[in-house]
Amino acid sequence: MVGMELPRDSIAVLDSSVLIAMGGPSTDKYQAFERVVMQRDVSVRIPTHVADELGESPKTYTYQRDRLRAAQDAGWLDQAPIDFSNPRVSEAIDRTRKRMLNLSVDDVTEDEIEKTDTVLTGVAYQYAIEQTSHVTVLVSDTIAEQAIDDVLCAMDVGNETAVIEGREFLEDLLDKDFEKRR
Amino acid sequence: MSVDNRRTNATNPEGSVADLLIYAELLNTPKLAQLYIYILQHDTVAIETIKDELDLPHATTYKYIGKLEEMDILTRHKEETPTTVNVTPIQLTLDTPHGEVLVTPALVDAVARQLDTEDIRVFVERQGIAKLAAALHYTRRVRDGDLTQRTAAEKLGVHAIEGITVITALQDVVGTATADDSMLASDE
Repeated sequence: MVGMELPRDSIAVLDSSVLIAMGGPSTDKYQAFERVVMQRDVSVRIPTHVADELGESPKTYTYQRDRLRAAQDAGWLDQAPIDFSNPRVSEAIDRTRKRMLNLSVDDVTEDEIEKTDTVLTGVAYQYAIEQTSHVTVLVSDTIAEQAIDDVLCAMDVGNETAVIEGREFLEDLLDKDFEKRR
Repeated sequence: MSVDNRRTNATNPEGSVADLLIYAELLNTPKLAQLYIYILQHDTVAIETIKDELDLPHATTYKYIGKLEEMDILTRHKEETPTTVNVTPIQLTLDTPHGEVLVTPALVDAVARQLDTEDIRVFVERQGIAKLAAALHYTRRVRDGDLTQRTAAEKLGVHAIEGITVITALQDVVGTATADDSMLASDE
């Protein structure tokens, strides 16, 4: 993970857990992430399903929704609709659900695997098959990281995609920033 | 319920209830919790250092030190100049119908962090301390790769965003507990 970079002119599919881990626009992590995506022309995408989940969260968590809005207003983040008309996209989502269930411990049942976790694979797959840009998926669960990577590789887009642990990536960015300023 | 670290008699009802009362007071008083955790994490530390680092008024610092001493979990070293203190890492084991539940200083740390972590404060306001304890349990399980944050939120019975927010904030607590293994024992 150390030295992981987002390729230039690539797409980054972001889960809300990573947006939440960044903190608000005034924090170091948020600003470091914003700097790197703008410097490297990385288009950040958040699946509409994930954005809707943020939008439907309790009123107390409006500040989390505001972070999403701030990123959209700054121009580096857009929502990505999921193309359910493409059967391979639906297949990617289904396979992710099964893989996540497989990787989870025994007391997790199928209905406890949340759809929002699985749609990230679908969106990553959608962009990967266009073959115009590299796609990085940023998540912050070991299970999500493993499952999404396994499914993308099994569906032959392993070369065009990468799945990384978002929180470690943010820590790494801060370390690099600190190094540069020394 | 059994007692660890502080009593030699494993079936000491007075000791068990005393520990329960100590825990209840720590969990209900974030500033006291903060002081306890600070001392726990710094081994033996001067009272004046505590006052400065936690930015506490003189009287409050000594009041809380006195309180922890009354609870029998703090030792004052008056022979040192300046006076130093250290605390005992206490933990409770609760035997419940659902199995054994271990309550460790990590929960006290989480309670203390209400003071400087908005996300934890908001969660406790909305959901309470017992739910925070459950969230800490699930944060460890997420860290161990047992389940995703969204599945943990589902099991916690809270909205996914609320669950992810508190689990993200508690990752620091769990991280500290792992690093300080000798003092902050890990949960099941």
